Amino acid sequence: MKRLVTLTLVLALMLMASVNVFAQGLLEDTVAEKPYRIAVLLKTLANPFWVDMQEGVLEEAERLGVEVDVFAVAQEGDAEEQLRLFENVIAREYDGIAFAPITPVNLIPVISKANDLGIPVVNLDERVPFNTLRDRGAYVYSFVTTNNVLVGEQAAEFVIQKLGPAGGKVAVIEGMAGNVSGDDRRDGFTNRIKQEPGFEVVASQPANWDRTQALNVATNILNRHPDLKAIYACNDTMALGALRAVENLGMDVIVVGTDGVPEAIEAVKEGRLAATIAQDPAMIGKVGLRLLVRALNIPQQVDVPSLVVAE
Amino acid sequence: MKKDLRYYWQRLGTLAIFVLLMIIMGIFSPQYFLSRNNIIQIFLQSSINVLIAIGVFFPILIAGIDLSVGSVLGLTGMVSALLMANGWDMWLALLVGGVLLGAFLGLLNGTLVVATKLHPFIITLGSNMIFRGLTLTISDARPVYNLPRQFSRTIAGYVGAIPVPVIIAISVAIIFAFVTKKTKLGRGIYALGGNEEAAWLSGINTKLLKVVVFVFSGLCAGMAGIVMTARMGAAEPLAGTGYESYAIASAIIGGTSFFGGIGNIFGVVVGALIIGLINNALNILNVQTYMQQIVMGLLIVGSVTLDRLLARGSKGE
Repeated sequence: MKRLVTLTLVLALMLMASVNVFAQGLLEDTVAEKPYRIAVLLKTLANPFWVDMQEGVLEEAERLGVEVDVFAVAQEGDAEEQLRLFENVIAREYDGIAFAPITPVNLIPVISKANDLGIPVVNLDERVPFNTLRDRGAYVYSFVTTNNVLVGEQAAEFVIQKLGPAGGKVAVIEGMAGNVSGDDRRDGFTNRIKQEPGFEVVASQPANWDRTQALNVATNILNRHPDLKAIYACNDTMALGALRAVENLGMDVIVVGTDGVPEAIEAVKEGRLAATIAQDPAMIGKVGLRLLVRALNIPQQVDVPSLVVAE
Repeated sequence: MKKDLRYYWQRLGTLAIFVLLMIIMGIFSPQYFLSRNNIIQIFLQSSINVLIAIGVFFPILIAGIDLSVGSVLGLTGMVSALLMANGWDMWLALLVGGVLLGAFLGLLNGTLVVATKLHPFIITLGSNMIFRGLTLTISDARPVYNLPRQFSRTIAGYVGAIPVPVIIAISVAIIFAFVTKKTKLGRGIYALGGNEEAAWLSGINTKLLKVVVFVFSGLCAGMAGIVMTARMGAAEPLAGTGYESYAIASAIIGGTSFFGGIGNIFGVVVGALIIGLINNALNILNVQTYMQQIVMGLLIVGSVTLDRLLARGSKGE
C-alpha cells in the first residue's frame, strides 16, 4: 500500500512537474514546412539514456513528417570517431544536424564547416562553450539540455510535499566540488528549501559522486542530526549510498536521488528510495529536432513586393 | 634529551597528532563527536583506506609508488560481485575475485616494474587506467547489485560492537606489522628501501622483493575491494576512483619516507585514521564544501612538516 502511494505520488509529481516546468518553451506547435532530411549525432547507443533520446527523436520525426538518421559511436569515449562521423554526415548533405558532443570541444572544427555550408546545427545535452565557438568563427543555432537548477528545485518540491507543513531538517549530499551540474542541483534544491518556512538545510556535504563516501557522509550527518527528515543526493549513486546509511541506522528518513538509473528506479518501486529526479532524454531529442525544423522553416529569401507609386 | 624526543617521536609522533586533532575537534564539535558510537564510526569509515594504505606503504618503502590501488579495489570488488551474482559460493568468489585477483594484479605491476626497469610511477599510472578500463568493460559500466544478503551481513556486519571491516583491517595490520618487524622478508624490504645496491651486495634478491611489495599492495587493495562491496551491498564500476591519493597521504602522514627505508605499519594505520577523523569532523561541523579541500590539504602538509621538523633534530648525529 505504502509502495503504491509512493509510486502514485511520484507519478503525480512528475505530471505536475511536466505541467509546471515544461509547459512553456518546448515548442510543441512546431510544424515542418518541408520533409527535411536531418541527421542526429548522439554519443553512443550502448547507454539507455541515449537510446531513450534516439526513440524520442524518431517518434518526433514521424510526427513532423521529416526524415531523420541517427548516428552514434560504438564507445562513449571515442571523440575522434564522432568527429569522423560528423564529417561523413556533412558530406551526405543533410539539411540540418543535431549533435551531442562527447567532449565540449571535439566537434568544433566540423561545426564551423557546417556553418560554412549553411547547415543549421543544434547542440544537445552537453554544451559546447559559446565563447570557444565564437573564437573559432563557429556558432550553433540553439542548445537543449536538462536545467540542473530546476532538477534541484523539483527535488525540493518533492521533499516539501512529502514532509508537509511540519517541515523539518534536511541535508544535501553534493557531487564533486566545482562540477557545474552538481552545484546547480545543490543550489536549486537549497534555494527552494530556504523559501519554505519550517524547513532547514542543516548540512550540505560533498561525497564526490562516490557511493561509499556517500554512505560515510550520510552516516555522519544522520548521527549528528538524529531528527533529520530528508536527504537529497545530487546523483543516484550517492543516493543509494545514503539510503544504505539510513537503512543501517534504521531511521525514518526519506532519500531523494537524481538521474533515474535502473537501480534507483528499482529502489523506488521497492519503497526504499523516496524518489529520483530523472532526466527526460527523449524530450531533449524531440526539442532538438523541433528547433532544427524551425530553423529550416526560416526561408532563405523573402521577396517583399514593391509598391507602385503613382498618382 | 634531543635524542629521546626523536626516539619517541618516530614511534609515536603520528599518534600524538591523532590525539591532538581529536582533542581540538572535541573542543570545537558538539559533545557527540567524542561518543563511543562516533569513534567506532571513524574506525569503520577508515577501514578501507587503512587496508589500501597498508598495501601502498610497501612500494613507498622501497622508494616506489603504487598509483593503481584505487583501480585494483574497483576491479576486485566488481569481479567478486560478478562471481557471486553468477552463483559462485561466496567465500570462493571472495578468495578468487578479491584476494587472489588483487595479488595477481600486484604481481603484474611488480613484474612489469622489474622487467622494464621503469619507475613504478609510470607503470602503475598506466595499469591504473588499464584496470579501470577492465572494470568498466566487464561490468558494461553498470553497477552490480542484488548480491547475497549473507555477504554484507558477514563481511560488513558486527562482532559485538565492533564492525567486521575494522576487525579485518586491524588483523591485516597486525600480520603485516609482524612481517615487517620479525621476518627476514621484512628486513630485506627495509634494506632494499634504504640502499638498493647495499641490499643487493649483501645477497638479498632485490628483484624478487620488488615484485613482493607490489603483490602486498595488490593483495591489500583486493581485500579493500571486498570490504567496500560488502559495505555497499553493490559493486560500482567507478568505485575507488582517486582513493590512491588518500592511501598515499595516509602513508606519508604516518611517517613513511618517500625516499624509502623509513616508516612502519602502525604509523600508516594512524595516518589513515587521521584522514578518517578529519572527514568525519568536516561532516559533523558542516564545513563548507570548497573549504574542505583547503582544510584537508593544510592538515596533510602541516602534520608532515611537523613530523619532519621534530624528527630532523638529530638526523646529522
